[in-house]
Amino acid sequence: MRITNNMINRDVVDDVHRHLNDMAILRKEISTGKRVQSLSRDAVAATRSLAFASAQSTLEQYKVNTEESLAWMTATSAGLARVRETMQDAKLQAQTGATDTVSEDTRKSIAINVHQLRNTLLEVGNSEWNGSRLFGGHKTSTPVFTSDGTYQGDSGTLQRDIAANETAVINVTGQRVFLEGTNLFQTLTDLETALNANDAPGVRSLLTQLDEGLNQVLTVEAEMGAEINRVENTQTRLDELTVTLTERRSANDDADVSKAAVELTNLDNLYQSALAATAQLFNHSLLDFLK
Amino acid sequence: MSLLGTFEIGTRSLRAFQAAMQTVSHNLANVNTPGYSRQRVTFETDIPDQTGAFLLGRGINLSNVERLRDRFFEDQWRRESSVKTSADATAETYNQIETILQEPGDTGLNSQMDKFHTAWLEAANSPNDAGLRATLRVQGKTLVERFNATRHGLETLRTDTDEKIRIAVVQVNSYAGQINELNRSIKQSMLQGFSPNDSMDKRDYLIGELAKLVPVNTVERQDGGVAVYVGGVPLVEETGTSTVVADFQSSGTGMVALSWENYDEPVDFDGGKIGTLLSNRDTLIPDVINKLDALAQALVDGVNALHRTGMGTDGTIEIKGSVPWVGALEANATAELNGVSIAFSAGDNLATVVAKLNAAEAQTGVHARVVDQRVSLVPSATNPQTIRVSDDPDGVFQTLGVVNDFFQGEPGNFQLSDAVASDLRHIALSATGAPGDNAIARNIAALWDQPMMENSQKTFNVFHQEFLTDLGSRSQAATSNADNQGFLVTQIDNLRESVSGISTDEELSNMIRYQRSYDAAARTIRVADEMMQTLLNLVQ
Repeated sequence: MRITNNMINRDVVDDVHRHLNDMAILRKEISTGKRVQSLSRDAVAATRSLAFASAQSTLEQYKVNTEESLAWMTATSAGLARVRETMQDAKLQAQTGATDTVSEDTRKSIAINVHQLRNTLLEVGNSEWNGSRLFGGHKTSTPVFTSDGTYQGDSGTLQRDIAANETAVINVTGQRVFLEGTNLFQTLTDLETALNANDAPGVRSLLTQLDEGLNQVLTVEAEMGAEINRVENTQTRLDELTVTLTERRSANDDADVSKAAVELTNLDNLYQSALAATAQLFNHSLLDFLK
Repeated sequence: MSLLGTFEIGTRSLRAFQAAMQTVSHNLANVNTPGYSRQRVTFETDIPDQTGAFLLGRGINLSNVERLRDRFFEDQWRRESSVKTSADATAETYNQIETILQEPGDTGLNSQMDKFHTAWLEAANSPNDAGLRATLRVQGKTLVERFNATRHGLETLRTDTDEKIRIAVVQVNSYAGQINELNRSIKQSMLQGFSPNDSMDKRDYLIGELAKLVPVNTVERQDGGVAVYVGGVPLVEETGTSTVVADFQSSGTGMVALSWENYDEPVDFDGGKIGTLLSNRDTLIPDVINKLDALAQALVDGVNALHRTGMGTDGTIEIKGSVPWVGALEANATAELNGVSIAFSAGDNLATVVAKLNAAEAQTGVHARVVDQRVSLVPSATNPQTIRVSDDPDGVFQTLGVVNDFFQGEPGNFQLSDAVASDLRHIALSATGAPGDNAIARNIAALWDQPMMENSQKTFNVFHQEFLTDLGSRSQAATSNADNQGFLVTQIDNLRESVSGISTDEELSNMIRYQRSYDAAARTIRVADEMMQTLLNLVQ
């Protein structure tokens, strides 16, 4: 076959282009650390990377959601604990007041304590977390109880999506905690009235009611505790999922940098040899020997 | 037989080798000229002299200057480079589509859809939080703007392709004209007995360039001309050329349609660059646009359908019609506002509709009025209620434009609805309007988990990702196709070059050869001259 100048020239140019192109791809792999640079390089890996990115972004949001849910639930739980302590305190006061040997003056001073305890209950019932009323159901921006203990909220449940197809109810309504079954406010008001009236049997008769009220709070508190546990479990699972997902995404996306670096060195050597060979080739021509 | 004969042989030799030398330098000069074929002089012996019983040679004659070329390789090269140009055009189009889509990357649609999704999930955490609502609104805006920009980019790519087609058509017509001119001059030269090598090279080169644009068939005529056929229509023939007309379609698409000026035949450019550009313009790019439109539309519709059933946060807000309404209802219709059913009749206009809405004001708690030829709903003064279109089976509120949508517009021009754009409180995160209610936000976030696309088969993400996989694979195939075709063309071109190409070393060695021959011929003349001197001295 006749070899012409144009053929040699085009071969050289083609080789240089191909080498430079391959080297540019490797260089980008190394500098970004990503194997998947464009759709057309590896369509399947590229879209899988997108799917991982979507999953990761949703997962991150679920983690934020569990975080926020737990914060709200912990605040609720703290409120419930305060209600329980208040009721335990009220029960102790009532037991003292129910004793026949206690004087009328003592009963009156106990009554003042009980009044304070009722105020504490109201305060907890209207308490806020991050600007929202904890016990008002959906009515999070208005007072939950009036001073006479009337419920102003609704029966709304605050639901949060904490994982794919998993929701958590993060609130309990004031209705459920304070009013349903035993009306705690009414019970304390009755207790205060009986104490003020120096009515020991009356106080005694309220002890059962106080127990029932305490149980009511304990039940809700236990339920809330169980729910917090569940959300915490989910949180742990989300963290594990994040790790797995990150690993899988990295396996899909990341370049094997050391391998790419070795390949780049190889290519670079090849490229240099190609250039050297080309230089050799054009070094000699018949022109050199024509004098 | 005479001494003068030797002189004559010498002179003729000098002329022949000068001509050969000129051809060598012509070849060397055109080593880089595209389309140039190597030329070679062929010599022959002159008609001999009869001297007695002998025939004495009369030296050399220049018989021809021929161009070296292999028609088979030329045709093959022309065919394959036509395929290559079209493969290149497709690969380039895919490449540009990829650039427009910006996937995979943080700015692509996939990432924006994710951000919009998580914004709903986040807003559901604190439905009363104005900051989260603002984030949600910004993400919504960014997402539809990304959709719009992508569509705009693809539309521009389409018009650019159309522009390329128009330019290519101009080139085709110009090539046809030039080929025709060259045909004519070649014919004249040949009639005079010349071989117009350079003109033929130039013409064949132009046919090669033409073949990159449209698939051609060529027929070489006896007189040296070449007829060029495109899809059965003679583009260049003995009598002249046909013209391809690129006309803006009357349909108003703004794109050109191609036709033959003097033929009723449809323009069949399948295979060349123009054919590929046409199919890219009319199939490839529109398909991508349609897919993304379907995604955008489904997303906008899905969000709107749920958003419409929800409520904003504040009862004092006003919902104003998005469009001026001057028409009338075409049929009887009912619609529910805040749970109160209101009946409308065919022919109701703006004033009647407003009157009917106000007739129910006591129950709905909503007052209607006319502002700028639009219906405007505000909470009633006596019994203010949050405005909520609870049911709209006949699309009355839709017609009035007072539906509380999140998005409005059509593909390529989606935007936030006027209501949402004007006031964050219009964003309906709740079903009841209570500040802690996040039902609608959660439902909208759940859209991403539901099969919303292709007859309830695929989620937004799956649809989009499958679309990208498909596009990426095709792009990958187009690129490797173009590369492979490139190798093929190089190989054929090498074959072609091995016949027609110029090797400087070869030319230089020919140069030496002809130089030596020239020297020898000159020497002959000198010796003949000396002999003549000798003869003349004898006479003196």
